[in-house]
Amino acid sequence: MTPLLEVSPITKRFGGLVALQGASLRMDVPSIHAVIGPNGAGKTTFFNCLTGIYTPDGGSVRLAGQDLSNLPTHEVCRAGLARTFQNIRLFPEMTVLENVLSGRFAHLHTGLFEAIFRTRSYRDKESRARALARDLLESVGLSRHEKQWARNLPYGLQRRLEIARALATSPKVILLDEPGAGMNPQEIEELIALIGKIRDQGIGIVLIEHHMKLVMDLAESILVLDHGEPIAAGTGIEIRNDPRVIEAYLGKGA
Amino acid sequence: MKHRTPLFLTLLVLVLTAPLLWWTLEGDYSIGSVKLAFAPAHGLAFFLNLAPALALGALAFGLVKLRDRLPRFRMQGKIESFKEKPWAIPLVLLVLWLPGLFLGSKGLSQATFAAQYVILAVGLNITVGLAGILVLGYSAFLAIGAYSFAILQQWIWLPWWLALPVGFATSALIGWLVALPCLRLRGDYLALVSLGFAEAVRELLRNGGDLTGGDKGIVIQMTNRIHGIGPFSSQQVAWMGAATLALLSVAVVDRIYRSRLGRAWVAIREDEIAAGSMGIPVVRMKLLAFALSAGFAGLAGVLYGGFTVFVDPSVCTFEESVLVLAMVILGGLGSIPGSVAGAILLFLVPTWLRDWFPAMQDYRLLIFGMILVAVMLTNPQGLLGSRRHRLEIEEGKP
Repeated sequence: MTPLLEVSPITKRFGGLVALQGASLRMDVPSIHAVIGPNGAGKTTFFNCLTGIYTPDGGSVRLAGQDLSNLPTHEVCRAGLARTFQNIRLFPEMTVLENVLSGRFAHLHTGLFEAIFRTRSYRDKESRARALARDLLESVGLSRHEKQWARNLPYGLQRRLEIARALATSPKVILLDEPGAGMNPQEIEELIALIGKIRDQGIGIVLIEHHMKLVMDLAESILVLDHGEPIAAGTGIEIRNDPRVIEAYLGKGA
Repeated sequence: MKHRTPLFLTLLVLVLTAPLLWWTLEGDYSIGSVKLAFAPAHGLAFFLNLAPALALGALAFGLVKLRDRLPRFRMQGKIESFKEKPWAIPLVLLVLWLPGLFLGSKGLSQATFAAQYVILAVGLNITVGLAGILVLGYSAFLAIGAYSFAILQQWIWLPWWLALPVGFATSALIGWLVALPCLRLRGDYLALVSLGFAEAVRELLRNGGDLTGGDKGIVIQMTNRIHGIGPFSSQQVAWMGAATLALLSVAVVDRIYRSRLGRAWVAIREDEIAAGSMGIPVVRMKLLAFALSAGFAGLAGVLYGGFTVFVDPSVCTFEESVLVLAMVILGGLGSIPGSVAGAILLFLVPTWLRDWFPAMQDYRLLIFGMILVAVMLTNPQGLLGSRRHRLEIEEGKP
């Protein structure tokens, strides 16, 4: 069986600086993987290489057998690899509902002329997209806010909206870049439930996270990066006891 | 407190221009040189002429302030459902046509030009307002539309209404070709390219020999101009045609705006990287915005040619581009009703100023600038931009 997501060792250099050296990942069935590591370890660079924002200098990305390396960003998304951003990148001057709908772009095959003449098929597709977007908002608990401007949402809800928008692209795998950043313990609990629910829908998840409770609760497999290099990979317990991981986080002699 | 800087700047301008206003150079031929002479009449005349302008500015300021206190009208939902009715466009069209029967020849010609500016502003709003691409040479596409009509009609039978799609297509195609190599440029570079392109187009038209008629331009043949039909005079037909085109442009842009394409444009304007990551083909969507935008200018160009019966390189000036840009910004970037209002205001106000206060002719641009500054100070979002903003928030309140 072809694995859902297969990242063979990726290398990314910025001039003389090696930002990423040999980071790889393999997800056979929809499950939750985590990428952790100290600040500046290359985690976000790893995501940017997967989604085509950076072109990696070596390595390849395959999603359900399809080669994604060298595809432009929007094609990567279309192939089924969606993402959220560490520093929230919503469309602030759009309503919450419009934000989710904009994630539906590639699946909403309405053309210019359909839009101008408001054909029956246009209205059907548009109303189906709206229904789906509302379902997604419901599932992340944002229904009440659909007419609000995204920029006016509180921080925690903005993170949820980003997840809903990424889900609207009907992804096979979704990359979450620090979904729990800045959240309080209760919000973290809700987020853990939400991520579990997404996995249960058959969507694979790779997440970058500093919040260890979230990682340990959810991740079936963890990849640890330090200075752009993978230093360990395995389950939560294996990682916790790995001397190199302890050294990377706490320094030598800890 | 936030108005202190503009006030200070105003004072500075007054001080700096005082020598020019109150003093004049007088030739003293006996000693063969010039000397400075106090000339109060000149300065006085300046400020007397300025008074109505200041009053107008104050009025505009007051209206904007007053609007905030008026009870908010909650019509948006009703307007939305009205727009979806199949009879909405014919009905509005009939209402628009009616005044054409009563207006005099001068009023009709002003209304026709206003409608032409509505098409231009709504078209430019696609790139500048929706997709967030600054275009400084929009008048080039107006000229391309007008000239493609003017040149073709010399050789073949091409009445103005038949030339409309031709002008749209030519402008859109050329717009697409111009944008193709530039869209990989980020930010303001495209603005500069479009500015240079407009200058190049004008020089091309001026030096195009027999093809473009050089500085003299081209006269549209009798049969191809807008002329009267049955009981309607040619000016009434022009107004009806212009109003129809303006309404259709508004409707088309509005419908595209509310489709996935419009959402994609706004997404690109808001955050290009996020838009790409959500599966929106950024470059292709920008090209579409640019081509459509150019196409609408082409449409306006054909209308212009058919109405003024004559095109020359003066349609393609930087002032024209800036005027249309100012209309879009004044009305509110990205707001379609705003563009319409901006176009009508910024065309009619200077025109009326010229008609009613001929003495103020020289200060038209000054007044123009003052109105823009006043609006931008009180409503940075533009006239109608902020209204929409507030409504959204209000309706969104749980």
